[in-house]
Amino acid sequence: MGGKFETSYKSDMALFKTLWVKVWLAIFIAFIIVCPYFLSLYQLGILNEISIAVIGALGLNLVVGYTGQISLGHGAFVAIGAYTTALASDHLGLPFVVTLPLSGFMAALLGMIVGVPALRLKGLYLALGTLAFGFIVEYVLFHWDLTKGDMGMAVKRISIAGYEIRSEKEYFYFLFAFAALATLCAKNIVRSKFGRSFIAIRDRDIAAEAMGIPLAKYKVMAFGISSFYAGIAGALLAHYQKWIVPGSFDLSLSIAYIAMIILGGLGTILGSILGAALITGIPHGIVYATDLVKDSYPVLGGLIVDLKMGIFGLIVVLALLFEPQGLAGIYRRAKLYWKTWPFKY
Amino acid sequence: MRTRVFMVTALAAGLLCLMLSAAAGSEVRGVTDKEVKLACLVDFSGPGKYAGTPISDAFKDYVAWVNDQGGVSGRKIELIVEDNGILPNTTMNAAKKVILKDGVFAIAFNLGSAGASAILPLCEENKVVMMPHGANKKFFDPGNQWVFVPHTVQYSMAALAVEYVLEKNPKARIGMIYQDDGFGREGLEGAQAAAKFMNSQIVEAAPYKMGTIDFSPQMNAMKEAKVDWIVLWTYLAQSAAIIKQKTKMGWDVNLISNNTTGVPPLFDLVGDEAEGYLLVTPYAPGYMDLPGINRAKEINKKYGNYEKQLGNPKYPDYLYLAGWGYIEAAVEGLRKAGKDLTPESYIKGLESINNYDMGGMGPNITFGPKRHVSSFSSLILKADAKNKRFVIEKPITEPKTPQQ
Amino acid sequence: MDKVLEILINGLSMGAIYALLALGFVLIFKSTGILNFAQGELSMVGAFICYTFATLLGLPYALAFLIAIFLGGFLGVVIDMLFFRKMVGEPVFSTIMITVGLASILTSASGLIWGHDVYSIKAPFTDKTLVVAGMILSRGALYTVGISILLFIVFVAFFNRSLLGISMRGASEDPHTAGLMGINVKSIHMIAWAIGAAVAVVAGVFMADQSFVRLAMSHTGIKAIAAAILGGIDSIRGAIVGGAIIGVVEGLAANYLSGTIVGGFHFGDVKEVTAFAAMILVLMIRPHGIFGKEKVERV
Repeated sequence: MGGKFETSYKSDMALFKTLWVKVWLAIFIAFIIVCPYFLSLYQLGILNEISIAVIGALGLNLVVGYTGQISLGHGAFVAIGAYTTALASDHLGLPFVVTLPLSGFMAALLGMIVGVPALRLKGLYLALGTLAFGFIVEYVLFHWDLTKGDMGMAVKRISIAGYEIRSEKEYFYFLFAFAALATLCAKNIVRSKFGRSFIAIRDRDIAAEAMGIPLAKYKVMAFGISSFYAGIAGALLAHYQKWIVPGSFDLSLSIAYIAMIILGGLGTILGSILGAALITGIPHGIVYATDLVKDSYPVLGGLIVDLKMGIFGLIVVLALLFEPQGLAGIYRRAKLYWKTWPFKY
Repeated sequence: MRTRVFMVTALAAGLLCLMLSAAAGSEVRGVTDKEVKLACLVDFSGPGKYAGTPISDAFKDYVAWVNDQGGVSGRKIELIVEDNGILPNTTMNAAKKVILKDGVFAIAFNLGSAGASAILPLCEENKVVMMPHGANKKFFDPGNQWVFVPHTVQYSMAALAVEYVLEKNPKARIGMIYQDDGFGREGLEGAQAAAKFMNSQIVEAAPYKMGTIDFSPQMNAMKEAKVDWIVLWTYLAQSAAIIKQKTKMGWDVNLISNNTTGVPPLFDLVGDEAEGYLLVTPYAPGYMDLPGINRAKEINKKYGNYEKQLGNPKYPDYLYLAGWGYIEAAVEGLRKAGKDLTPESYIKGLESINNYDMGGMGPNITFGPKRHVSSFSSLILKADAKNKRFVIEKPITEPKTPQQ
Repeated sequence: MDKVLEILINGLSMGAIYALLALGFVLIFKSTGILNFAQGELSMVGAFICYTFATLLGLPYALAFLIAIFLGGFLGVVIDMLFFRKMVGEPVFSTIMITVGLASILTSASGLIWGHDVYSIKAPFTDKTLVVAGMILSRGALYTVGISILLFIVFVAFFNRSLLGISMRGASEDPHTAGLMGINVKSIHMIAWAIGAAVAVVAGVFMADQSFVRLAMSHTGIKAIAAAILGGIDSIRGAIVGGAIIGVVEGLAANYLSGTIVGGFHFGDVKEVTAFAAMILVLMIRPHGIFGKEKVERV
């Protein structure tokens, strides 16, 4: 599909297939380096939020898009990552380089624990089970003295070898690097034996088992990896916001992540990135739009919250009704059209 | 193919150089020679929604009046009102927007103590003075150089409420229903401190998660503990729900609450059942004839919509006055800081405010280098359901319980 | 002993509401295979509509109630036609997400139309209590339980005896065959949505009597899904029984667990989470619920 005929295994598996891709990548990197110099602090902030969301979305797409296991509790794993780093850096005084992977592992551990019962549950029931799990995690975080509930927990700045990350600009480079790393890892997982097993499980799990893929091991692994990503995203979020409350990690966060991967395209890496960017960016876009017309229609100020939610819901519904493959699907079609023009097929 | 790649790269490089040159310089955020930007973060959409409109009305009227007089030190005030949804996340979004996007100089009002704690790191990082409403004790003990509270904190109000009850009846059994976050917990602390001071105690304390309106477990616990008085540290919807629950249970217990619930919509929600409901608040009711209140009414008549606002008996008037107190303090700080306005000079300006006259509307405002919370005093009001308003039960007093 | 009875009756009145919501949920699922995560939002919209007619327009309560039910049913039909006609045959996941999106749209529309305040509806039995054998019961709770029981009897009879009811069951089990037998599957779907939405409205209005009308009402919908799972997601009887059980268990848990502190962990607001704990237990032990049927999957 797309008109390129690969002649060797190596070239088929390559991450960057053509010279074009490499050039665009170089331009993109250069763009990122100069970004902070002409974007406003607010816009950098939006990009930072997107970087964190990308990491979470990549994780969720691995378990939902590639392995076919519906998880409506992703927000809970993000919460676990966030609170692990908050508690570890505060109570245990551990440095960031330790608390970050720790958060990932804690979340992964819980993810695998959730993955075990998931072996018995299919589709709808799995979705509901993960949903209930999400609620219970939120409840525990709220009512446990250790996590201070709605009083909130303050989180320290990121300090690596004595260098503290303070400004939006510094966060920008830092978070982008993580997002890029996460993307690279995800791409690698997908094109490896694990990725192919995940896809086999998604397509027909009983048949996959019959072919010799150990279902239990891979399903649990999928949950574990996805939760690891969520945990990392949560830890980064905690250090970025410097203040966390359980309410930030409720059902709406889980739904937002699902929306990201649906909108972006299930089972694609590009989709996770595009979806994360769009879902995170839309509420800010609404803020920009309402700011422009605020003076002429002052009543809009109070309606922003409703507009944000309504437009979000509308986009999810429209995407599902008219473009089930998501943005990645649109991108693929556009690329195909461009490549094979003026031929239709 | 190679030439195409080369051309695209060159084009992109050229674009990049262009963008690089667009880098901007910086001065003091939110301040120019002609203008200073202030933000007012209130709730238009969350549990504290009924407070959003009156507070922003007060801000708008006062700022309009100040600008009409020529502004402060030759600068007109640009007011940015933003919805903060009272919850910490939404408050963080709102604060990020007004500081990073709109570039305000100071946040002259933030509704919600949980949100105030959440945005404090952001304000410190960006050197933005913040004035939280319903703030917590930690803002004055140990205190924070960027935070100023022009009125009374939760701790002091709760202490006064409990002292009032125990003065009336030293043997009263007091219970407390409080919101399980910074706002409610601080009320609990104040109540417990006052109870201890008066040689009593809070016999039963029941928290609830913000947004709850089912209070049967809490009220049952209170009834089992045989309390005569319940201190409510809640928002409007919860107070209404508790009054309804009380009726449902057929139990005639006395209620005293914090200031956020004493508004006319309470009568719409529970009608005559609100009779006898008490609350503690720093501001006098709007219908009273006091110089400060009359002045506010004059300005409201000129710049606002008097019939709908201060002249309307259904209007949450003292929320308007609460907002008034904040913007007065904020602008007075600007006046004292003078022509050379920076975040540091503003702090000095605010700290130099001494006994600023509020005309009886509420306690006078005094700040100092070690005193970023202006007062500890409040009044006690009682609900008069027939006339759908609140009357003064006890005038402005300072609690006897030690506050530091 | 009195206390336990009081808790039981109050728990049943909440349970009736869960049962109604679960009923609508199961109905829609059985007939169309769609999991309607927007059930709670539908009940909220219904309560707001009733509020509009009863409080804002001043119509008598019973009339406003009936109008709300009718409009609610109509809304259900509109939703079916707009969103779900296209989605016949699409994977489960997509339809769930559409209902989630729909839930957001309904919430934001309600926020725009009616606002974020808290409102109350004055019913003839609001805030009035009845003293029975030394216990203080609210009339609202009694009405809720009473009318719900009536509705349940009607529904069970409908699905087991009437021609339409049996056709609906047939259409849900095997749409193709049902179509071949002359059943109009499309109109069955429409009717299912109409009834499902209407039942949600009834639940919403009862909820409004117990507390207030406001946007957050919709959260009860998700707990009702737990009730449906408990009873068996494809069983009408299961929905009713599941709802009652969850309502009572919640009440008992709230009363006996609330306030206990175990090792720095406070058991407060137990009602928020009891339903979900129950749901997880059910899913672990017996996913198809009390009355549901186990599905066999072939490769």
